[in-house]
Amino acid sequence: MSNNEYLLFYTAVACYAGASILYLGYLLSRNSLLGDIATGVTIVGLIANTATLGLRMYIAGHAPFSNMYEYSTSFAWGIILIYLFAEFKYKYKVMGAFVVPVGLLLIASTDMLGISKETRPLMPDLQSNWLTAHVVVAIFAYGAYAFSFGLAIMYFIKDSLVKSRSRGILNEHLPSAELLDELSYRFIVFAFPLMSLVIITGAIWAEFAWGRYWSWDPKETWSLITWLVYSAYLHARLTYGWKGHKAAALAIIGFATVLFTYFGVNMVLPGLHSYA
Amino acid sequence: MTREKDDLELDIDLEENTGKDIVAEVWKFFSSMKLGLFLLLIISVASIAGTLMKPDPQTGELPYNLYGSYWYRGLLGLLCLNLLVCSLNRWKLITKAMGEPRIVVSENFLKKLKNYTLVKDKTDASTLEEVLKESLAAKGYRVFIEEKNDKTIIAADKGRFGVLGSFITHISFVIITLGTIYGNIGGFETYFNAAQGQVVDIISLPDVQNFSPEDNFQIRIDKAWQEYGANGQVSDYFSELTVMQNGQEVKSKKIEVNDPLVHNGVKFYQSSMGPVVEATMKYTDKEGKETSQVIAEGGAVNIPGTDLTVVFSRFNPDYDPNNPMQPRSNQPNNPAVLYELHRGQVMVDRNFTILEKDVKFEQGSISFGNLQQGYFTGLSVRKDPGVPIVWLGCGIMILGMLISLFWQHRKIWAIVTESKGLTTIEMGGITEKNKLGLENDFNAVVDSLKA
Ligand code: HEM
Repeated sequence: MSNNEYLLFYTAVACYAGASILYLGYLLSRNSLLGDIATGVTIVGLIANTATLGLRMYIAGHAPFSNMYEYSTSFAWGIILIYLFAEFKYKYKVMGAFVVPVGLLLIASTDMLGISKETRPLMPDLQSNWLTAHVVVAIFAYGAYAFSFGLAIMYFIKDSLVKSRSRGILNEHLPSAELLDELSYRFIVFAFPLMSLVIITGAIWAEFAWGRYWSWDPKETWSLITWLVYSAYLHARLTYGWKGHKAAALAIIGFATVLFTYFGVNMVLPGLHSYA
Repeated sequence: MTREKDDLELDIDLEENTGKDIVAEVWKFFSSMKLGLFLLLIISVASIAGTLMKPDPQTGELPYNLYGSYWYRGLLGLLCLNLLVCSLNRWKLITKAMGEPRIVVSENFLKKLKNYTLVKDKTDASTLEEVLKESLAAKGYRVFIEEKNDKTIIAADKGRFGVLGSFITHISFVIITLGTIYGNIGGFETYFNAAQGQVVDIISLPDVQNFSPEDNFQIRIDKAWQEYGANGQVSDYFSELTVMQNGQEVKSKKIEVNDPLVHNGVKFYQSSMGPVVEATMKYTDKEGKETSQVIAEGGAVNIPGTDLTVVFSRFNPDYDPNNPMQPRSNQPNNPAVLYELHRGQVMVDRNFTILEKDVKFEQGSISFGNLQQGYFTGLSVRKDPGVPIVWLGCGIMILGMLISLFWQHRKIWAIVTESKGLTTIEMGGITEKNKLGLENDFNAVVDSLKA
């Protein structure tokens, strides 16, 4: 890995870390200057993150989807991009205190887990446009799921503050529990068709690469599990009106399965072929 | 009042069927969302358990084929049945929802809605009605108007086809499942390794079923090789294949990973590759004319101008004439080739020969030499007639989801009354999904009244 890549990568990590702290400060102080700085730092981080990926693509000569480092950096990019988009759309900067740290955790995961950042040639069966489409869509689907997860956490905090009639600044500053619940749902609604598309493009790729669109490979199975959990979320919400606690709990379980599909399958499960 | 209840209860009334007879009971059981959620949960848990099994380190086989088991498939089948019954049950409601919205509503009904507003204004009623109509139409709503007694009721809705979305999605799931089943019972899956020059007969491969002899053909491996990237790692595997039918070459294709050959519904995937010994076989005919061909261990070639086929059946790097099948070592001290000579189906000769030594027979002589390393190719062979159905189902699923998740049915009503120069407007709105979207529409319409 070249020095330039290191520089850009750690700039992004530092920015996301700084932004997480700034957003937290903003959440607890309500100082709008802090909030604006947090947004600025996040934007700089996203630019550095984009440049990291761009440079990697240039050096490796293929989309940055060949190892855990590249995936994590791409997924963090997706989360932060969606976050900034939502911040501009909904104007609730406090969400940053819950969502930007998820992006930080992902991008920093390679260092935390000691994963190599080296450029690696793509295995023959990974050289496919379907796989590129698969990962690009996954970045947005998982980004939206990460967001709904952050909102579900916020929901639990807000709800307990309201129940205890807290008069603290945190309670005042967090959006209403109802809005958090509804937004969390909106993000899942956005992510679910994308997630379906992730599974379908993955199946098309597998059909070309292995001649089987579905082989119950652990990665495939776990993405199916994730899909079933979110499907349960949507149905319970629509037909039984599951909102609030139950919905937030399912959103958190759903994101846990996302993370497991991503990290756990490669690192914990006794599978055969785990393509990062 | 029941229509109003429908509107309030999001048109979802799953336990509607409360017949006493057994058929109705079964139908009710299968239309229950409780069963649906239970199945989603159970299937998730079972699938998780499946991924925790350790594959055998040698064969890669799992100790138990969970996903192929009858009970797992049964659960998936139950899920299909469940959502099918659910969807059929809801068909009436869906068609009702796609018709005209309920127009005549009461003030009491509007007051119960989450989006409710009371506006009083001195402007006369008909002007305000126009404003309402226009701002609703501008937001893409269909507008219906009914005068009742001294009131004007305006009912508006948009996105009514959104209710079709979940129906389409559910059907797509059934289509995908059927496609998978059809693929399982109407196809086959097998694998072979073959060296350059070898001809493989499809119908005689193991595990080939559902394949009619008229469709049968042979695959000739013309070439197999691999390419390397800048750092010396393999970057891709290639095989050049020719389809032969009734002794005719039908077509040829260079396949690589991610790019299979398809013929008569059978697909050939580049799956693996391994090293194999290749030799140059020289044939000298009775006139002394020489021709050379490359032949790999396990491969076969035709001797030109004759009805003879030479098979390179085994390579022995260190040949011991006293124990020909057992190499003395792995070192190429005395390399020899076990060849076979076939005339049609009959084997006429089989023997070891050391390199560069002529083997004579009535049409001339052959010799083997110039050893080098080549590759055998490993191909997965699969016939799955269900694949197009599965892709169709996938496409329909995405379509259905886009419709149901982004095309939400929203309804807004306004009751306008005028008395003593004061116009009163009571407005209410309802949606099953995207409350924020409805709220935006609703507020925009309310604002247009105040402007
Ligand atoms: C894995 C299988 C299933 C998939 C992919 C699926 C998909 C969907 C989708 C995308 C929606 C729309 C959700 C929304 O608008 O928020 C939906 C709604 C619905 N589903 Fe399913 N579903 C499945 C299984 C089931 C089962 C088993 C049942 C019945 C027991 C069921 C009953 C319903 C009902 C009643 C609705 C809401 C009504 C409507 O919007 O028309 N679904 N489903």
